[in-house]
Amino acid sequence: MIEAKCLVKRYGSYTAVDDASLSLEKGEVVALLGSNGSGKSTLLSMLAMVLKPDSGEVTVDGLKGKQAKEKVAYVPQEIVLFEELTVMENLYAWSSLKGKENTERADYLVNELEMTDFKRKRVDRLSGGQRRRVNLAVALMGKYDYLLLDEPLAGIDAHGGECIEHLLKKEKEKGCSMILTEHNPTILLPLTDRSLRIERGHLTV
Amino acid sequence: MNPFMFILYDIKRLFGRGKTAFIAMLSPIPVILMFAMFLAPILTQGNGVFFSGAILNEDDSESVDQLMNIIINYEVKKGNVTVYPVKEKETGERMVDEGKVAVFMHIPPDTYTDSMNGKRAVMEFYYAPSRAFDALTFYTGIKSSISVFGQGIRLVNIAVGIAEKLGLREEEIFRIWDEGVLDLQNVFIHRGRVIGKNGIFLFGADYHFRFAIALLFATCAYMSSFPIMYLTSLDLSEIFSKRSIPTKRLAVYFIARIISGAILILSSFLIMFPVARLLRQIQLDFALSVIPGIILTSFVFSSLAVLLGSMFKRGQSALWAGLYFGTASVASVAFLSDKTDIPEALACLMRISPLRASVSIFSNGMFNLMIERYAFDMFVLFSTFVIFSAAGFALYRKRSAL
Repeated sequence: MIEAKCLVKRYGSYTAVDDASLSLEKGEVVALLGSNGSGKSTLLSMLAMVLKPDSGEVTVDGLKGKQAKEKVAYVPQEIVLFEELTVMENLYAWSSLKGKENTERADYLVNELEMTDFKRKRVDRLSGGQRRRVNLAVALMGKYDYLLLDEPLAGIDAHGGECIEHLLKKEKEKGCSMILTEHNPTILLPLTDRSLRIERGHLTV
Repeated sequence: MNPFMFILYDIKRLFGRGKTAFIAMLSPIPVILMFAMFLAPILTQGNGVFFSGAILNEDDSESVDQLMNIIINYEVKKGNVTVYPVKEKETGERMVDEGKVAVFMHIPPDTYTDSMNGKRAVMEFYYAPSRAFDALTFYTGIKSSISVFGQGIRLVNIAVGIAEKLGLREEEIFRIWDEGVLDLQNVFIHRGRVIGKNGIFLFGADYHFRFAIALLFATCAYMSSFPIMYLTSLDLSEIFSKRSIPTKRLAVYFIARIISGAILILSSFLIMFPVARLLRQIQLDFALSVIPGIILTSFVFSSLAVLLGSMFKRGQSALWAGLYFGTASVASVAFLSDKTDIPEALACLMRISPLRASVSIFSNGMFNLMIERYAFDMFVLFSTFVIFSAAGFALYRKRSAL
């Protein structure tokens, strides 16, 4: 279970997330909804432990810090890839950086996300939607129990969206817990068990 | 993944980023060509070098007269130098202002006595800015000659003192003095043979040439490390901070970055190295002795670039910091490395400066190999590599972790 208690994040005088507490059960999929600038990405980054809260804490299965971090895969909203490498090189490099190179997993994700046509292309020569799919695949290369996705469908065409939805369904079936942020809740809503809303940093059920 | 693959991927990243790496690697070529076409002929012109100077010698000691005769006469006889003795300071300065001589040198009273008593002897030089290079060569030639010859005379004096204490006869003591000074003169005048040149001022000119080319090489190599700074800063602020990576793996990537960065810098050296050999027809064994220095310098500059890249959140800030640091280092090495009257702290910084050590290795190794100096410079480079790498990894880890 991911458990967040009283998370607060301030940028100067602006409070991006104010006293947010939530929990994510094993196998559960939660949608985190909210308008632009509501604090979704900030909250998700803190849950993924890539952003330090000003106060409050996050535990994963009762663990904190490095051990907790290893159980979580995070898909940031920004494209975070080695732009100069090809899709396959990115998958191999990132899986190695996270632990051990896993060529089978890389091939599986390339097939699932229909990236075969451009798997040998450099990332900086791909379209926005293609890069978004690689961004997701890279996050899924390591071992994880919890998956946090920050607007995974932003800038993706209908077909790309279907591929991602299909893959996430399979992850859910495997028992993976997820938190997804999305502007347009209708797309991923069939996947989710419940939803949370955040507005001006305040989290509501 | 095999760590070798990390290095390969990182090389691909460094070389593939907007062709900046290629620009960094190839940029020394026009610089070296310009150097070879314009500056090198000035620095290396051989027997055609002609200096004219005016000297006001107010020190009436016999030793200074003797010393000046030895230093100047050899070059005067060869027709390389014309010296006008003057009786007043104003006359010498006027001759410089009127363009009749390149430099005016003033030897104040008691210079010899002061220097023998361990006091600081100050000789004044006056020159027109338009003749700065001539003046510099004249000044360096005279200064280094006085320094070397003065030390030699001091040793002969010590030998004479010992002879007196031992109770040798007067004629034997005179013989020790005469033969000692004669031997010193012979060795001194022909010391240029070490680098294949005769005379005094040519030695100074060659010193400037090899210093200039070594400084140019080290500077170009340092500048080719800029893509490493930029990419490191970008990796830490945009990539690693957004995806968590275990420390052990981060260490592998850090080492891969230093190695791939060193390969990039080494590539720019490989372009410059043959040019240096062509310019000076350096002996092969001397040239080969530079290779370990080149490799170590590449690693030092690479680790320094990673350290600077890890310090700043924005790639541009890292580049600016690198530029300022590099400019300050190059300026210090260019203008302070031959100074002996600088504060101790600054002198210490100069001794441990990796850029100075690198310049020293190239000028020493390629032109006139002195093993002790070479070993000391290699030690400085290795130590700075260890320090930069350790500090770099601490920051690298801190920046990529939560």
